[in-house]
Amino acid sequence: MNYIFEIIGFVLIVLTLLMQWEVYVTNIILLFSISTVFVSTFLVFLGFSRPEGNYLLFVLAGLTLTIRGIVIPIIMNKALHRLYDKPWRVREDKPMMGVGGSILVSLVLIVLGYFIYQNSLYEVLKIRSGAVPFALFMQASLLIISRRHAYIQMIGFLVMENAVVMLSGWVFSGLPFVVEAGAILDLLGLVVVSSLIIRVREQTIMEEGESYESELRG
Amino acid sequence: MNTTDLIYLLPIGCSVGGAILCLIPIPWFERVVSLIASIAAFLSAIYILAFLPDITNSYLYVDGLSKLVLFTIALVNISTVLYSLAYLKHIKNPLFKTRLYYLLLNVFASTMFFSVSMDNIGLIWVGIEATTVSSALLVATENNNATIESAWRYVIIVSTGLVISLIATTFIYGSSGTLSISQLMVYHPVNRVFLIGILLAIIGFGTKAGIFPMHTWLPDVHGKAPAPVSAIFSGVLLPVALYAMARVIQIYPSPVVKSFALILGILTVVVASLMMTVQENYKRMFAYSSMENMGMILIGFSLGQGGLLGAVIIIIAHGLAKSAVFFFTGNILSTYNSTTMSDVKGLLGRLPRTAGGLFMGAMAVTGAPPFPIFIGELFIFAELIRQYGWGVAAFVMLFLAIAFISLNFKVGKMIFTGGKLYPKEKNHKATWVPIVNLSLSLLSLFFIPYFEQFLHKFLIP
Amino acid sequence: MSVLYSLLELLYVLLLSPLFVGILNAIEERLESKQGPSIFQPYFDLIKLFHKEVLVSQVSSPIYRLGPYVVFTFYLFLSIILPIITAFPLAFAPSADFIGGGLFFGAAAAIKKFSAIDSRSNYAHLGTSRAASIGALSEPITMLIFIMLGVLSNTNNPFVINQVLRSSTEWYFSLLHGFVTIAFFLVLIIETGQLPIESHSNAELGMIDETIPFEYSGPDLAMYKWGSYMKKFILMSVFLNVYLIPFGVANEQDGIIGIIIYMGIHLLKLTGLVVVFALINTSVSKFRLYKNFDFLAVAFALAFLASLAYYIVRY
Repeated sequence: MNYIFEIIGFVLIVLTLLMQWEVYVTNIILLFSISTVFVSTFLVFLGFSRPEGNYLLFVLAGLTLTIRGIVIPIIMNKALHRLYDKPWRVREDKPMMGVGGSILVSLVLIVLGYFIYQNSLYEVLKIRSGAVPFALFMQASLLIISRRHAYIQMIGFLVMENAVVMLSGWVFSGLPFVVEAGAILDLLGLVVVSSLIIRVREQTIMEEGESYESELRG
Repeated sequence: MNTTDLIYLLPIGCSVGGAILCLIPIPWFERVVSLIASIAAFLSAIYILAFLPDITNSYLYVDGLSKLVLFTIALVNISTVLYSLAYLKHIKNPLFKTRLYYLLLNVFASTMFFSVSMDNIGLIWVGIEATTVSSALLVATENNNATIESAWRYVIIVSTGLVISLIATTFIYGSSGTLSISQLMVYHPVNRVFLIGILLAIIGFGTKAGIFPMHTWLPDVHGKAPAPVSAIFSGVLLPVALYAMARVIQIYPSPVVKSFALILGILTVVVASLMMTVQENYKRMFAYSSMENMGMILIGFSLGQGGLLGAVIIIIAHGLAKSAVFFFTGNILSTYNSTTMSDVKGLLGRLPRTAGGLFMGAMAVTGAPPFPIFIGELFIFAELIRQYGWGVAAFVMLFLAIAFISLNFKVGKMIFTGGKLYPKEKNHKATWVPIVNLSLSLLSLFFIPYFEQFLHKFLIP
Repeated sequence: MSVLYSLLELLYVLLLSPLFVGILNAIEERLESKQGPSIFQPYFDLIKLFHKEVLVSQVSSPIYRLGPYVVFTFYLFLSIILPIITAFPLAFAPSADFIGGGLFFGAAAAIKKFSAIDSRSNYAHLGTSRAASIGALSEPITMLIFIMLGVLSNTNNPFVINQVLRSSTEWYFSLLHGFVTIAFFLVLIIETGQLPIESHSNAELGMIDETIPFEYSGPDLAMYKWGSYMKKFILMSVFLNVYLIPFGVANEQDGIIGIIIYMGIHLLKLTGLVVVFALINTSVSKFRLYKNFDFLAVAFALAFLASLAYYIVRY
């Protein structure tokens, strides 16, 4: 189980690095979908590893796979299709920092997450690979900060939620099912609402140019 | 859970029922339904407040604090619906139909009721995240560039911040094995993981309450949302998040947690009062004023005992007064078509009733003497002086004074300059709503002994 | 005996290295549904070039002439110290460890660049500056990979690393090894000039290594080309023998027969790798020059994650 978690955790970190590398939005959505598949695989393994055979974990894995892995990417892709003529050409065109630089910063953040975990929680929890979800969390926040495109920021937020699932499943004994299910439903609502907002936002940006943010300063 | 306990869910049920009935496509029906639903929710809140005992079971945790917050939510919700009835026609380019606006407003109210009556920190989190979902579109009611941008910032910053409190929930559950507030108050582990969980929860819920490090969405949203939405945000949404923080502090009132919350509260007051001095947009200025009040409430919660009583007084009085102030700004905006202060001149001549109300409201929210916010601040300062000495208290008072002077100076300039620049105009239909709110805010002064009764169990040292 | 094996290895690398460039070109053409050249075309090119005359720029110094020969010798030397057909160190292997080998590769690249600059051709300068800026960033990655392998085996000896990886399934399936292998594969794409980095056309915008020998002609060019064939061959062999498939490499007790059998297996492995390269080359489009650095950053990130995986998991 340890080994499986480490492999899945590092695969998620690499997938997030690839998101950092990628500029096309549809590809980033696909990468997120793949990483969610890994998260739900992890939940299935976790369900098998529990001696009491916790069937709710399988339900949770199914929910995660269908809602986060399939429904949310489909909603985002649909929104992209409605908004643009060529959705596969939509890309981040004015990132806050270059791709290479953001990959290196991402590495620094991974190390930071490791040190924070090592110096604060490791002594109590005694789980060495617990640093992985923290690193993932740091990377996801970088994804939100370093990109300007709203869909990519949304994906960064969803990656963060995945990191929380990994954290609660691995480092701790998992959250109660009601809370997890509520969180997933919230996420679904959030994606629906924000894809509406993003659509209007991109439309106005396309029609009137970049929003004049001077009104929103200070 | 007994079936008789379901009565505590009545406010939630009223709002959800109202939201569902809003779907029926009859003209004006959604407005009538929303009004009835909000009144029903208010009556049930009063019933819970006045007649029902505190309750603790595996799902619900309703005590004096929750009841008072529940009551405030219901009250502000009614006034918001009433004001919306008159205000919505001033929105020139709406993003969606009026029906959807009322539907979301009802869902929003029900999520807030939900958040304050749950026993489970995880479910409180779910409720607070659901307020984000339901209110994001309300912010974007007016369809223009800056509004949409502010709605997007609201969604992304607040949900990112709330992920921190989800992590905190994981920590708390992982170290104690339960998320139930009532059980955690009786027994909780004392270790580093639990402590970190509590501190992260304070930061995370603080995002939603406009507490210092992640407050940046707050002025944007309040500056751009339509007046009724700003009012309900400032009046009750922020206190709902603060309610979660208060619970977290009550679970583990160790010196570290308390001083952490105190420092965050003081920093919020400092930042908000300094930012208030440089504002040129009156809605943003009032947003910073809300932030300053939230900082004071957090200080009160962190101190506990008398501070807690002061904080609750501020929650109720500020919820009513600040919603009134934002309703007045709605009147001003629809008359002057500008949110910049230098454009607003001769308010006293043009809209005398609004001008008078705004003047009183500005006094009320900055804590001028007869208003209950002043009393609440007195309670908090008394406790602050008792626990941390004069120095800290004087420091906070300095910034409160800065806030008081700058806000009232700027409001005064809006009201009294310009003289007879514009002719007198007909009053807005719904001007009586904020006036009633403001009067209720003042009247709550007389109910302070009752608040003390409700909060009795927290006030014994 | 060991010296004889070394001689065998030398001849093996020397004679077969052009073949795999030919195979790669042939497969690529076949994948694009073209007839394609014979797989022996590089040999014919070399023979043709050896029969041509040498033209030397008036302004160049002796470095220009010496360059290709020195580089060629370097690669000959590398071919007898690295594990290519044997899993045990041969007579000359103690002269340099893995890091030493890396330094020799670096030195060869540097000499190549010096001699190219000495030709005073603008195109050679362009290619040199590009190759230098990419190389300056890919060298540290290679070093990091070697260091991580050193952590894995506690030595810098490629033969020991091979031994450790094939005897311990725990190490073979560890995250450290996985990341190191992927990172080395990316570096291999950079060093052997495969597609997302470099296309084999004469389009000025994307040329890197292609421009460096622009001024060379006749036997000089032949030596230069042969040297680069050998470089590709050696790097691919090291990747296969040490990182990806450390199994089956001939041991000392297998004797000459075992080594000859392994040479056949090794050719099959190389053919497989070449097919993979051909698939990549026909399915991926070239990066813009500046995006190459993003590619380098990813390779570095993977190599770095290998070290992190080691410290987080700490086997």
